[in-house]
Formats: sequence, C-alpha cells, structure tokens
Amino acid sequence: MNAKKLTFPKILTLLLVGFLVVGAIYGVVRYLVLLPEGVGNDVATLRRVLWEVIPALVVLLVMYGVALTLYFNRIRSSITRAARSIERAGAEEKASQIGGEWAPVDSAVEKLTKTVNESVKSRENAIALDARRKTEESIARDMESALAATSLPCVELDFSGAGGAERSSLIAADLFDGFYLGRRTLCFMTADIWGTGFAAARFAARVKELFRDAAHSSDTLGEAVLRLNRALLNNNPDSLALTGFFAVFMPGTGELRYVNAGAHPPVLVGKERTFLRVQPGCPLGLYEAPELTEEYLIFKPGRCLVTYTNGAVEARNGKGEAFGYDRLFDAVKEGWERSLGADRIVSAVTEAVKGFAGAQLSDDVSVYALYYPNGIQAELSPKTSELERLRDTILDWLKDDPRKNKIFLACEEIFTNIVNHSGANSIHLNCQVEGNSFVVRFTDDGEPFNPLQVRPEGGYYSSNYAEGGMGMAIIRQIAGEIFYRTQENRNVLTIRFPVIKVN
Amino acid sequence: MKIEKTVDGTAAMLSLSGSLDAMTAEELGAAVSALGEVTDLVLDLQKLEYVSSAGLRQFALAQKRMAAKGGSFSLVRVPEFVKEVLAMTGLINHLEVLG
Repeated sequence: MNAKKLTFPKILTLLLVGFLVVGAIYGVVRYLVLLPEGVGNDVATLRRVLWEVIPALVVLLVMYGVALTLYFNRIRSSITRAARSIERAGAEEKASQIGGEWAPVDSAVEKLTKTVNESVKSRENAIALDARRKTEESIARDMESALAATSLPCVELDFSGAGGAERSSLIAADLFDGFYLGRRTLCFMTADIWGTGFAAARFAARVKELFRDAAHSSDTLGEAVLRLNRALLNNNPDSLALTGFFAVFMPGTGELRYVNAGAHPPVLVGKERTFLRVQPGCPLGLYEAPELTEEYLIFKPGRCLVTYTNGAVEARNGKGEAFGYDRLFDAVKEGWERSLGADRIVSAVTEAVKGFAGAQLSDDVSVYALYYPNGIQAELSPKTSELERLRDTILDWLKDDPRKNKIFLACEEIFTNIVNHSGANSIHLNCQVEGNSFVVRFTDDGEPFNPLQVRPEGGYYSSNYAEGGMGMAIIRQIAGEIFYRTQENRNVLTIRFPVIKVN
Repeated sequence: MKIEKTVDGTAAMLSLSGSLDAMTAEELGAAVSALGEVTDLVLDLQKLEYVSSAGLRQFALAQKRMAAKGGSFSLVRVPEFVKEVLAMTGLINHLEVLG
C-alpha cells in the first residue's frame, strides 16, 4: 500500500513529466504553426522551435534536481541525528548501569559473555600448549627411537645380550645399551633419567654416548662409571640425574663385573629365581664423589640376568596393583624356558608388563637381558631304543635352530656306530655351546674304536654300501670338525657343528 | 613310522610317514620282504620327515632285492631333507628318484 502513497519525490517527478509533456506539445504546435508561415525550410524551423523549448526544459531539470537533493539531504540528516541519539543513549545507559526490569538479564548475559570469552581464550592457550608439547614429544620420541636403534643385540652362540623398551605417555627417557668391548666382551646398562620431556631425552642421549666413550677408554667398569658421572656434572644445564645398572660380561673367564648406581637389583633366573646381590650405590649426576662399588661374580652358565628400570615393577593395572617382582620373575622365567636368546626374554618381560598395565603405561620400561645357557648331559644305554631319548635331548637343546634335524642326524649316526661296534655298557652325552659352535661329545666305555677310520672298500656308495659306511659320510658332511681320542680307557668322540647364522 | 601298502599284481607302492631311523628301519625291511611276488616297487616319501643311514640302507637293500627279480625300484615325492641325505651319501646317483 505504501507504494501508492504520494511522496514528495513522486509529486516532483509527476510535475516534471507534466512539464515535459506540455513542453513537447508546445513544441509540436509551434512547429506546425511556424511551418506554413514560411520561416524557412523544415530544419531551420525545427532548430528555432528547439531553441525555444530546450532552455526551458534544462531550467526545469535543474530545478528538479535541486529539489530532490534538498529533500534527501533533509531525510539523511534526520536519520543520522536519530542514530547518534540512540548511540548516546546506549552509552549513557551502559555508563550509569541503568537498572530496570531487564537488569538481571543484562548482567547474566554479560557474565555469560565474559565466561565464554575467557574459556575460548584458555582453550586457545591449551591448544597452543598441546601443539607445542606434541611437537616436543615427537622430537623426543624420534630421539628415543634413534637411541634404541643404535643398540644392536649381541648374539654369540654361547651367550647373547639384548635390550628393549616400552614407552609410556611421558617422555621418561629410560634407556638401555649393550655393546662389545673387544671380542666377545659384552658391556651393557639400563638407566632411568630423573626427569621427563625433551630435556630428559637429550640427557639420555648424552648418557649413552658418554658411557660408551668412558667404557672404551677406561681400565675398569668402576672407572668408566665415575668418568660418566664427572662428564655429566661438568655439563648438566638441566640439573638432571639418573639411576642405573652397568655391567661387563667376559664369557672367556665367566666374570661378570657390575656397578649399581641406585637402580633396582637385577634378577637372576635359571634353576633359581633370585636377585643379583648389589650395593645400593649413588645415583649419577649429583655428586663429585658418589659412593659406588664395582662388584664381581663368576657368572656360571645356565641362567640369565635381567636388568630393568623401575617402570617395570611399578607398572600398575586398572585396579591399581603394581606389576611387582613376582610377575617380573615369572615373565623372565617364561622367556628363559621358551627359547634360545636374550631377545626372547626381553620381549617376554615387556609383553608381560604391557599386558598387565593395559593400553597406557605410566612410566617407561627399559630392559636388558644377558642370556647364558648351560650345556646338557645325558646317560644313554647302548640300545637302539635309546635313540628316542637322544632325539628329545638334542632337539630340546637346539630348540628352534634351523639345523637341528641335521645335527640330530649326525648324532644318530654316531650313536648307532657306538651301539653296533664298540660293545659299550654306557654312553655319556654332553652338549654345549663353545664359542661359535654347538659341541656334542660322546664318551663310551667300549673297546677302543675310532669311527674316523671306517672306510668301506670302494667308497660309500660302491656295491657294498648296504654294509655300512654311509653313516660316516653323513657325519663328515654335517659336522665342521670331528676329533677322536681315548681317555681313561674310554672313547671320546667330539663333534663340532659350526653355527650358520640366519639373517 | 607308518607304512601304507598298495599292491597291484606285481607292482606295489609303500607310502612312508614319520621317521625312518635306526629304530624303525627294520619295519621297512620287513614290509619289503613281505611283498612276495612284487617285482616293481615304488616308495612314496611325501610324508617322511626324517631319514638316517639306517633308512638309506633299507632303500639300497630293497633296490637290490627288486633288481634280483628283474624288476624296478624307485622313490617318488622325495622331501628336501631326504634328498639332502641321499646326496650326502652319493646314494642319490644310484637310486631312481622320481620327483
């Protein structure tokens, strides 16, 4: 309906159109009147008419424009005035906190706005902090895995050493290391850094490097640990410290030398389940002259030693129970019995801790295992039926070695040779790992009989191969070396099977 | 060790499974002796897990026995381990090994 309302601009426009129409009619009439008067030709007439009409129209248009401008200016200024007054009123109201019936609502809205703003701001800060923490964590994790990757398992035939870690949500920077100090001498350690985060991871990296350097350049393990302590004190901007266990194992003499610097006592598992006896020792990175003792033990074969950081025994499950020493012993025992190798023991422990604590560990766990298996002995009767016991003994000893069937085959050939030829009453079997070989030794009380001299006429596969000799051919091809000697009226046959390392 | 026997006139197949060692080799010897008129013998070794020289000796004896009757003796489906042992003794060159 508003569209039909006559406003000032509309009236003005109507008037203008009216004048234009009148002007146009006037122009036409004037043209028609002038034409017959013979003023001139058509064009001259038109020009004369236009000269009369156009100035009037121009004046009219100018007046129209001026009128419209004045009108709209008046409207705009009144709107501006009104807006200013509203603005002023709003400001005044705010300044004087004018009450009224809406006051509680206003104040509630104001409070709410404030709270929302604050929470948005704090959330933004938290996100920024979290992002920084994540970046820091990923760098530290990279460092941790790079560190762990520099410790390769040390695998010898008669012993092996391996380490492993389970990481928690914290960057607790626990570490382990194992490396050779010369041929067949293994140096290893686990340590727990007192601190978390990037600084701790960096500190752990330094500890690892410094200890390797110290171990290689010191005469004794105790000296190496003291050197590490001094190096840490000389440059320790973050004032970090560590507890740790350090050891050197020399299988040639069976010596295990170790220094405990405030760590949990390592566990020994074989026939027994016991703790390694250790002096408590002082953590490193704190004092110039920490109280530390280099201890010594003849580490007999037939057991393993596992050192670990506190995250292992202190890991908690959903009910708040700690993993504890009993479970640690069980896990080590399981790994010990499961197979050959330190790496199996380490994974038995880390898997047990992880399985116990669930998805997230509250502290890092670092574990290092030294595996030193025993040789085995058996008394066999000189009967073919004893082959079954021989098979069980050999296969159990070799566990998952890929050549176990062939080694057993050679053992069967020797055993049947003794049974068939020596007339022995008893056969003693001894199997052990020596250096890089599996060594099997048969001792019997029969007639002196050297199977190495068995050479059938015409070779093993001549027409009389059915008579024997093939056994020795098999033994010679599987074994690396065979020695025969007599000792105290006994035949002693020793066969050495070199190990072919898989990988 | 288990021995499954299939006889068809003068041809026979013995399928061995398990371990053919000094304890069990005689069983194979007895099974071959019990074949009577059989002249062509095939040993299927697919399920044989282990063999020692005592077992190889029985192969050689069986081959001799069949040859004496003017027949044939062959090993089929020979597992890798058994082939290796046959090779160690050189016997692989004297026996007919079909796959």
